[in-house]
Amino acid sequence: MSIKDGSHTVLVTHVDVLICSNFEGDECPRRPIKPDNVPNVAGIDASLPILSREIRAHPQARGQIHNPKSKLGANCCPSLIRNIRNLACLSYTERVSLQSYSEHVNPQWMRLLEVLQMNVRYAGCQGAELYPQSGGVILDFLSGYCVHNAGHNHPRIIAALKTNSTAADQQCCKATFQNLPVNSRGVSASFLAAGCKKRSSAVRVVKVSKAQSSLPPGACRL
Amino acid sequence: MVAEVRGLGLLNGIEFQAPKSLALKLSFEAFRHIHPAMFGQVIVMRLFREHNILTQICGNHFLVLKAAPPLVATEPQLDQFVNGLRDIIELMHNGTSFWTEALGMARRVTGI
Repeated sequence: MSIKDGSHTVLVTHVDVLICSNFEGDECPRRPIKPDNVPNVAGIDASLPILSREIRAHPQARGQIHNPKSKLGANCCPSLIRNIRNLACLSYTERVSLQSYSEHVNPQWMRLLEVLQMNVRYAGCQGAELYPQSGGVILDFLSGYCVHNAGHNHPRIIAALKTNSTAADQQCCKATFQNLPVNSRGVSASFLAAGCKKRSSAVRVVKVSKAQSSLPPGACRL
Repeated sequence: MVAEVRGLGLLNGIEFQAPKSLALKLSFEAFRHIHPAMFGQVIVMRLFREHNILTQICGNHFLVLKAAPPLVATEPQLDQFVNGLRDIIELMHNGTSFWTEALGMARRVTGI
């Protein structure tokens, strides 16, 4: 899709689409996170066996796994506590999704993000800026590996999509969205989250730029 | 330290190379020995954590840092990137923390 602006034509290769539907895929409520509340290691391990590999491998976590009564003490390694808290604040759906991503897509990438402490969860994005859930502003100098040439959520592109999408597009997109794993919706695993305004009600639609003059089937509903 | 800056428009790559100073070269080679991508990823990590800028290195050349802001990026945002990267490169030359902290991280990961 291209949008003409005077003498300029912007080729849209990628759009971040927000869905009006308040689809909520979480099967269980979020756990509250408190600074002094270090969750039980056993609970994490049972629900997320793949991602907790680093937790399980940690010397201080050995012997604690599968012990329902165990709690990590205050003198626990900060990185271990951080890893556990990061997992504990995820919903059940997100955990399953992250686990699937680690299993079937790119386990090394997930591990690298954890090591680099870049596995940030984003609340939104606009232009060249990403907004982490924890606050602050991150400048996006990666542009989703160069697919966000027009910036995130460009108002003119959003407006054009609103104008062009049909009811069939909306219905198809909604169905597609609900079948996507959370990571594919651009949700929790750091960079993938760049395109989302609300984690569980957003979908990233990739449009191939091969001379497509209209929205592909199921492209979007705004 | 910086070999070349290549690119067109807002799609650019900054290629790093082994430093000339012997002391720095030892640390640089230690990084490379641990993992070929480690040097680049430490730059990525520092840009992210200390300067709030998301970047990545190239998958087929680990010493090239990609700088590809969207076309709507503003001058202050570009300045923020340049200043952030300059700070990190100065840290490589003037302090030991760039190298020692990264080695500590590698030690934690590898369990050495």
